[in-house]
Amino acid sequence: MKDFFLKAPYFKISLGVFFLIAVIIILTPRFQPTETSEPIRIGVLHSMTGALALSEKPLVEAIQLAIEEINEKGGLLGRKLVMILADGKSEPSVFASEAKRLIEKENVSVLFGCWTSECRQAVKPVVEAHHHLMFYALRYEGLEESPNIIYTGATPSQQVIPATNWALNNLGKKSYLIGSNYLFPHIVNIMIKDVIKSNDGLVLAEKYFNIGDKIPLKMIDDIKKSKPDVIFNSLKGQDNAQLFSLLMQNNLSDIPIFSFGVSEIEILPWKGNLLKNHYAVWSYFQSLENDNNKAFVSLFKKRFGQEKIINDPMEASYTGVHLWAQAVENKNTPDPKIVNSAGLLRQTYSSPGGIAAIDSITRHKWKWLRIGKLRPDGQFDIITNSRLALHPNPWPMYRSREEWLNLVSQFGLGAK
Amino acid sequence: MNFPKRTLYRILILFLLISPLPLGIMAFTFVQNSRDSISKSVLSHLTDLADLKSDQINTYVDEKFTDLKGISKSNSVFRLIQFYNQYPDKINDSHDDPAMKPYVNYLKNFSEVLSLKNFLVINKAGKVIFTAFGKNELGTDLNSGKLKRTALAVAHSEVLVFLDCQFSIAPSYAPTNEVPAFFLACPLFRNEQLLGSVVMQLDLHELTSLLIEQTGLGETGETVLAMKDRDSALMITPIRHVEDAAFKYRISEKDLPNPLKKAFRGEHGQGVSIDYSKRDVIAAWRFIPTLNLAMVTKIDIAEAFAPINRLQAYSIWGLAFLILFCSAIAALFTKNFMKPIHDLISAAKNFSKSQVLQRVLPSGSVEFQELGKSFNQMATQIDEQKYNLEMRVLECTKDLQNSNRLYKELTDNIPVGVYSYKSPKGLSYKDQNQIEALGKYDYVSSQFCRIFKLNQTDLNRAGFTLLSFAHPEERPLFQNIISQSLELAEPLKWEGRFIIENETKYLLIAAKPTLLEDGDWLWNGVIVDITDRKKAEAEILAAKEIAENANRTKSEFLANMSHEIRTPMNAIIGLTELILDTDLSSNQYSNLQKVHSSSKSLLNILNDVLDFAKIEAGKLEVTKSPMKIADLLKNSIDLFNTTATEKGISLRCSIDGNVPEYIFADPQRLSQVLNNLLSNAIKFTPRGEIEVLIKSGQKKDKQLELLFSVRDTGIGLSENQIENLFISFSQADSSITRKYGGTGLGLAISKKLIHLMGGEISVSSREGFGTTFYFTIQAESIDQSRFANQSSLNQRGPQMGPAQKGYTNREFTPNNLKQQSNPLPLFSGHRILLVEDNLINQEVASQILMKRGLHITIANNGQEALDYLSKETFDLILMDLHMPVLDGFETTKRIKSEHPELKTPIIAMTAAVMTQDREKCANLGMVDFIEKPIDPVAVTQVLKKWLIGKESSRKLSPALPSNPENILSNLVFKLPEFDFKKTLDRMDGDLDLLDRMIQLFIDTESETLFKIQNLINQGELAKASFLLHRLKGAAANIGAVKLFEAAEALENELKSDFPPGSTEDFQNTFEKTFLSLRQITEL
Repeated sequence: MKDFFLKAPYFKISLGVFFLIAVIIILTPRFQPTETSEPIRIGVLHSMTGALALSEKPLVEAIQLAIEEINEKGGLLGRKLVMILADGKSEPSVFASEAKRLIEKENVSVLFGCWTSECRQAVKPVVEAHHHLMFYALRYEGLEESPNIIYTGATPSQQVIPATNWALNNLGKKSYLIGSNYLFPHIVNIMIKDVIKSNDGLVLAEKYFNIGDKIPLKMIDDIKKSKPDVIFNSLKGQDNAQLFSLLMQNNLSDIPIFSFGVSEIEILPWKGNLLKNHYAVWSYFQSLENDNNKAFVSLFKKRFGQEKIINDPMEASYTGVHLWAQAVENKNTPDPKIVNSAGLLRQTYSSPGGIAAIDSITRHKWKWLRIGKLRPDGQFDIITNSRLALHPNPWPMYRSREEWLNLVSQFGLGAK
Repeated sequence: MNFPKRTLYRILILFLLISPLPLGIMAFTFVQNSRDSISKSVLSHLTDLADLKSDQINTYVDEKFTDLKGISKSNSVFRLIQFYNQYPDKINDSHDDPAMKPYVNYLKNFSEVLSLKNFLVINKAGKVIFTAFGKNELGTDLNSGKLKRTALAVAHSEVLVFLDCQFSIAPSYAPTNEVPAFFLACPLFRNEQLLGSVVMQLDLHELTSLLIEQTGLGETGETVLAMKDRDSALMITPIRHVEDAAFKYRISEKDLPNPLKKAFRGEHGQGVSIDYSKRDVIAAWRFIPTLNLAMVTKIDIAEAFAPINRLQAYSIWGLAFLILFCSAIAALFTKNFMKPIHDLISAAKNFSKSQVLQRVLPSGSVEFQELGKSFNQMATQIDEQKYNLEMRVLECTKDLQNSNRLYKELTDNIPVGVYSYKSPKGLSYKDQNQIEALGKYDYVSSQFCRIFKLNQTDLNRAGFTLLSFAHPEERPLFQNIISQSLELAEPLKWEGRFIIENETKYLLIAAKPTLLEDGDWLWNGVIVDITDRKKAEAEILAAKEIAENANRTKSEFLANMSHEIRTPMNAIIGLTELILDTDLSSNQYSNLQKVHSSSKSLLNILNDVLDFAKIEAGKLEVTKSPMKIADLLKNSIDLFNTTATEKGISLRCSIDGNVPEYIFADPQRLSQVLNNLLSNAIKFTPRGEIEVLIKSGQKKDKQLELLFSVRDTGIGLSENQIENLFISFSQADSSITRKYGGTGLGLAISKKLIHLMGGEISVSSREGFGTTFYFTIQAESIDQSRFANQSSLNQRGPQMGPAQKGYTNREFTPNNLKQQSNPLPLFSGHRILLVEDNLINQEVASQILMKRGLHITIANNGQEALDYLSKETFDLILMDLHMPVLDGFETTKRIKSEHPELKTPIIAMTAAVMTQDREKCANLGMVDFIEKPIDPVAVTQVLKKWLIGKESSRKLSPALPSNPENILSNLVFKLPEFDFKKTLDRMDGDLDLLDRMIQLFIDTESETLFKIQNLINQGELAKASFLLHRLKGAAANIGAVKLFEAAEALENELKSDFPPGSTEDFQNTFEKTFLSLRQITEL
């Protein structure tokens, strides 16, 4: 008995065994395996080909940057994020089918995508049918709500209406409206005209051109003659270039233009002193001065190239990814049905453009109003901005929803 | 308790391991996990709470906005606007206007119901046209009036621009006594026309009361709401740790606590942080976009974790108690449980201390009682064993002591030093310093110390090595031997000189190196002082030298003796023979014949004695030369034929057919043996016959055994006699000696000679029936053809022609032999040169030779011989070997070199018959030799051998021998010391008288010299003179004139007054005279 107690080997062995058990007890909870280590799939649906590719590709980069940032910090819920990129080919029907594919085949947890309202409206029923979740980052004409879409772009009441007010009060009441012949310009112009009307302004002309149509010189002459205080331009894509060239060619380069479809990217060819009085309204400009934006711009350029230019939709896309990620974290699952909840709507994020927050009723993002004037270097000087982020309201208050829907339906467009 | 603490500790640790440690670990883990889960649950709770609060705020605000939007569409508001547009001046009275009363009341009612602080309607131009409570703002233009830039104005103007609802909060608002104000504004449309705005001023308490309600947040929970006001954060709600903070307590932006800072940045999160009062809190931070406010909901960590802290405290206390409890139990357990063991241990310890085994009282559990009993049994056994062991140890110790004592006595008392020396591993014996520094003696015996004159203590002083004592001359060699021994691991043996305290000693060292396990070498060795032995050896060596010298002297003496004795014998025998040849009376002849035979006997005895002496000295050597057996036999038969015939004995001999004709053997010794046996046979055979047989025995290659037998029909031998037969100086019987004479040496010599020739001798005899001697020799057969042309061999026996070769028995009878025997063969005038210095020898030799018809020319020395040879030719030269001037060897050498063409045989004459002399002679070209004293028979045989058949060089008539009297007379006249002529004249020429006179003179005066010298030395000069005088007279009588003169001269000298001079001249003369006289008398 004594030997058993005192014999060194027994003693040491039992001591060792006890310490081994102790170590196991201590360490066990720390090594519980994560439920799954499969990556979380993020569906990105943008046109990589077609007319919209030039505008949409940078958004993919912004989303990619956000994904990489999150992955670098260890991913989400211990899982990596992967981007499943689908090409919408600038065609609404392709957008719809690709959205379906991403949801059904690729099992993505969330969708980021769409550019034009037509595309969004094509995708919307797909997302809703699947009770899925999509982030839409573009400024649009409003007049829409969906329980499955988070709108991180601005509504007209956040930008077009205050901007028009600003233009009328600061540039003059005579306005000339030019737009492409599709939904957004028509709706926007209705609102602009509403503002002009309430401000006792004058609409000199309201012109629409089919996308790709040649802008007739007659109109330039008309502008020359009528001398508008401001041109409200809602042309789309390449048509802007036509307009700007014509204005320059006709010595109208210093005529004030308010463009609603032109960001830093689209204006790049017209930098310098080509357009001297060109204005744009956005929530975000690359030139925005705050710590978040400085870090964001340098990070983006470091990742994708120093020549890269960042615009509002890119920032909105980028911020959207982070908001979504926070919501996933909050709900502890990437399942869109669970993520798409009040928890998601409560999220706020300190974004490059300022505090990003979603209005829980409209599912739209609170957005700043920022008006920029084109600088010779292609960036914009922010000449004015709102005191606070503006409450998102896709339905301007001066008409009822019904009135708005009726108004839209006369164009044979708009939400059903 | 002196019980080993170690056991207590171990048991204690074991106890602690069994319960408190795992429990502690589990408690720790549990507390940690609880902390985590509580933290999580608190956080989750906080998050929920924060979300709830923010939702409440949002809902509150949204509700108000909805109300506002609703009221903006109301007719009342529109009416107010219309009224103002109609009566811009009545603005202050509008409220009291009866037409407007219902609208105003409605709006006031609305405001009260909603608990608004105020409700305002502002037209598009910015004029406040309605206020529900008070009239401070009423009628004021917000764009220009006193309320310009107030929160109210801002809200209104923004609403006009955005065409949407807006809010604003002011920390201080003038119209309401600078208290904070909170406005919600909404655009006012009618038919899509913007008319102005409606504004609600809300009661902030309503908002803050939402937050103050700390549902589920515990005691320290609170929700903090703050707004950004310029560069600082302003608290909107009251806060726990700052009194009256609402709208008063500001925190500058840089001092903001983390949760608030994050909330202001728009972050949405929760975690552990520090609050504005620097407390550790768990907080959730939210940004409320609806009101642009930051909200933090938090709870002190202390409270949040209170349960877990309590749990932790309980765990620690519980654990402490458990440890104490376990320790106590362990101690108790150890004490009780281990007591029996403790007793055993004490007993065992006492045993180790005092060697006394106590007995223990068995106690404790059954097992321990068993143990105790077993221990007691064991103790008893140990005691017994111990006793046995002690006895055995005592015995062993005794044995060991005995053995040690024995060993010590042995090593100390034997005259041999014993040592054991250890030389370390790798030690090189090439370097003496190293050896001295490192080597060490393990043991040395006292004898070792005595040898080296050391104390045991001196032993291990530095530098003591055997090597250092070695004699410097021998040291390198000794060092080498040691190294070699080490290299080969072989025993070392060394005998050498050592210098110990300036004294040289011879030491013998024998040692063996053994390689130890650690690589060292252990030398075990012994040292013997052999100085005495070495000295004894040296003495023995000296003695041996002396003995050898003496022996050499003896040999020389013997040689001289033979010479000295034989010379007179030669004279006697020679002269006797000469006289016998003259005419004598029968009586004379008979007497002389006896003299002759006696002389011969004497010479034989002398020869036997000489031979025997030589054999004893080991000087007798056997040579081998070619010889013919038939010749040997014939010569012997010749020798004894006469005697045998006289005795009437028949002498027969035969050689067996397979005996080779020629062999290699020593003919002289073989014939000596044969002659001895034959002479014995003849001596002891009165009648009958004697037969000699030669047979061939075993043969191997050329080696051949020859078997001889000599059979007689004589008296025979008794068995007793046979036993003593071959012993020296013994004859068969002493009576035999008396009867037959003889020295008794013959057979002993024969036996030795036969042994020398590789054979054996034996005898078979029966008394009265004759005797047969058998002997064998080892010989070598010779191919005959080798000697076919050699004259000496071919011509020896005439009957040995080719016809007689073969294997037929060749019988020689005495008669047959007798025909060839020629008693006095006459040579036909051959010329002989005799080289001899001694006058007497000259005379004897020339008489013998002349008698045999030879012409003699005498050369007195070698030089004369050379002179003769250059002038004349001779048929033979007889050369004496020992001569003054030129001795025989040198002369022969000169002859051979000066006359190379000369074929004349040179025969040596010598008394020294040593083998080496003979070989020397042969080498110089001498062909034969004659022993001195000259035996006429032997001389005749040699001369025959070399002269017969040879024509003499000059035809001379055979020389006639002179009268023997002439020898003496010739002689006496030639001696210089004498004048015999006068003396003879006086004696009438009577030589016999002269001879007698001389003999008498020798007998009386030979001692005179000795006496005279003694007397002179003693000073007795008169007596000396007397003796001299007598000597002088005697000398004159016999004619010794020189002696007469010398004696007279000395006598005169003694008589003179001068002291006596040297007697040397006298002595010389005396000795010479006596030498001559002795020679004369010997003739």
